[in-house]
Amino acid sequence: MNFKKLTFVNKTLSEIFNNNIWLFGFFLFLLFSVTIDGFSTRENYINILYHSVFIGILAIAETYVLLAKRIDLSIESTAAFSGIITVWLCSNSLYSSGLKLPIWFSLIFVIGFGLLIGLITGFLVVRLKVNSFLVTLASYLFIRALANEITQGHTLTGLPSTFLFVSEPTIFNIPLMVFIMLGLFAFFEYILRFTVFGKHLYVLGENKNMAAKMGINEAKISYSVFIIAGILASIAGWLIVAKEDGASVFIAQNYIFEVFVAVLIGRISVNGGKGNLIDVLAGCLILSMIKIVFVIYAFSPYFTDIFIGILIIIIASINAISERKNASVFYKKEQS
Amino acid sequence: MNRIKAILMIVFIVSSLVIIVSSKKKDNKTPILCYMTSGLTNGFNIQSTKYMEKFGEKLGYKVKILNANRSAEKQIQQIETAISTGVSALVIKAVDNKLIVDVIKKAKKKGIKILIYDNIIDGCQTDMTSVLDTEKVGEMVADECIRVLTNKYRKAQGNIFQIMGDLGDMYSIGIAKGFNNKIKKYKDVKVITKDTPHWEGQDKILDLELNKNKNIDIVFMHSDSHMTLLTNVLKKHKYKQGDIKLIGTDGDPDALKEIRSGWCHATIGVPVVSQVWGIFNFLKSIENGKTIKSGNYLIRDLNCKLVYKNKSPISYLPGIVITKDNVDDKTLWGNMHEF
Repeated sequence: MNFKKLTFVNKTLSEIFNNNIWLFGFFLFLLFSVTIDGFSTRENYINILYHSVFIGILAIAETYVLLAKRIDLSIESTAAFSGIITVWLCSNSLYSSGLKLPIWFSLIFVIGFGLLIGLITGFLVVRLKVNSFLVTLASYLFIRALANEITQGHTLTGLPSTFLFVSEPTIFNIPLMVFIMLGLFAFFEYILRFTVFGKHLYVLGENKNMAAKMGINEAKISYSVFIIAGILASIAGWLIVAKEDGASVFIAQNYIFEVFVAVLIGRISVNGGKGNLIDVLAGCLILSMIKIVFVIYAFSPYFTDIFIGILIIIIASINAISERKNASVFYKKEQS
Repeated sequence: MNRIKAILMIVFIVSSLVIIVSSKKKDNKTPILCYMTSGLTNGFNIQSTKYMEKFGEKLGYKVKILNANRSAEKQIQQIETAISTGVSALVIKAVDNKLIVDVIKKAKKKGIKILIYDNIIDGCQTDMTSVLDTEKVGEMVADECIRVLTNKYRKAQGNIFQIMGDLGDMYSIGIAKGFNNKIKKYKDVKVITKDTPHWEGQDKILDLELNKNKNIDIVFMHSDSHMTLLTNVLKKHKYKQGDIKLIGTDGDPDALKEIRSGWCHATIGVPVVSQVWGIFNFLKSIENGKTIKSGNYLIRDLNCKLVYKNKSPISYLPGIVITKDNVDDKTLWGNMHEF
């Protein structure tokens, strides 16, 4: 019997059952299923999962960075570049490279690219002490522009059929990509909970001085979170093009906003050191449900953007108030 | 306490599932038709949407408008949701006619009628496509260009700067094909062609060209939506009305305005109302499983040509040449100011 695994499963289940976000998610699910015509179909339930795959993977990336009290705006562009470059390297379309490289090479290439972006960001943030917001804002701009420069803004299609091994298979009619996302959530949640790295990440995000006193290597952790974010973003981009059999210049556009909604619903603190990926998964699913309801009611995309903007403000405010409240309770306890 | 919470949670989930499963299906007698528009940022799309609603409801459909706001990914997700929530027909104005192929195949498998508007989708079977006969439009523009050049030089000679749209868009490809095929017969007419990915930056391309080339007689762009911007570029380079003739396609209100002001020589107008009706004209027959024969049909007083391509019927509508002589015609969509 693997007790460590059992503990992980038990802890995960208890986290779900004791959690208001999941409760809220189930409430919305029930409400939409009963009240909205066309919502309660098997295909639609699968769509809720399917439409949260890419945002979900990017949300894992952003969660790691936020836990370290940093921010990464470049994950959207890293995903876009990885997607576009994958099609450029592998497809036989008019504007591709003509190299027709194999699928495994493209995956290694984009992972390498994500790693490189993470290293550069880490170097600028850790060694040169540049603010992570500014660094990743700059890379947000130039990485996508770089991809568009390579393709001259054209849509690239014509991926080899080998990509169908990723996009086509289903297990119980649920696309493989959903299981890839859930697997990544489980793996990275495991790292957060049960590894020294995870514990150090929380300590560093919560209190930098304490981390220093404990001998935690801040530079190493900061490098690691940016590298993890880069790699996950590049995997997300690779999966997007596998699903869509091509890439346009608008690939993954505005995903960063949805990622922030998901992590904020998932109660990840922008002040670092608080939150977990189980809640973030709930955040992704809630967001996915809301987006599907908007499609069913045929709301305009402008309304959707207004809603997302307002949602970010509301959730961020709720999180800030609750953090302040928790801090004051902690202070009173300390005093007494 | 935690155990009680867990039990409550399980009861809640189970009861939710029971309610969902046992909830009676609502009355779905009114079939739903979704019009998936690529965006609503230009007059043509807005006008098309208006008539989609009008004609769809006239035929007894509940019409839903879904705006992808120029995102192919968003459009694909919208179609996936529409499939899973149960629609009878999808009318699609595709953001990207290549990326959309897979999801159309998925919808077809579910028995949903697929109707394509204003674009031709290759690589999958569809139930009807209603488009402007773009090759014919290209030929009409070529005729107009030859008329302009002959008036200017007394013979067909001169330089035309052709600004295409996105090379992934069959609309632009069709226009260029018709135009180039016709114009190549005139050996003294030189055509310089540039494309604009995603139809953006037409004004910048013209600006760059005018910096190095002062011998352009005609600027022909495959869309009217940047007409005013192009006029501004000509003004910036100190040209006056008529020095360089602008010719466009669409019949956009901006193009009509520039025809009146003398900057634009002509545009080929799209018969929006007929093109939308081209979708609905055959819809009942399609639903009843009837095969639509190829041939010529009269669609709202316009002769359309119906042909089969990859086992999919395509209805081609002719364009209308708009010059200063007929620019105030109230039936042109660019003059319908209700939107």
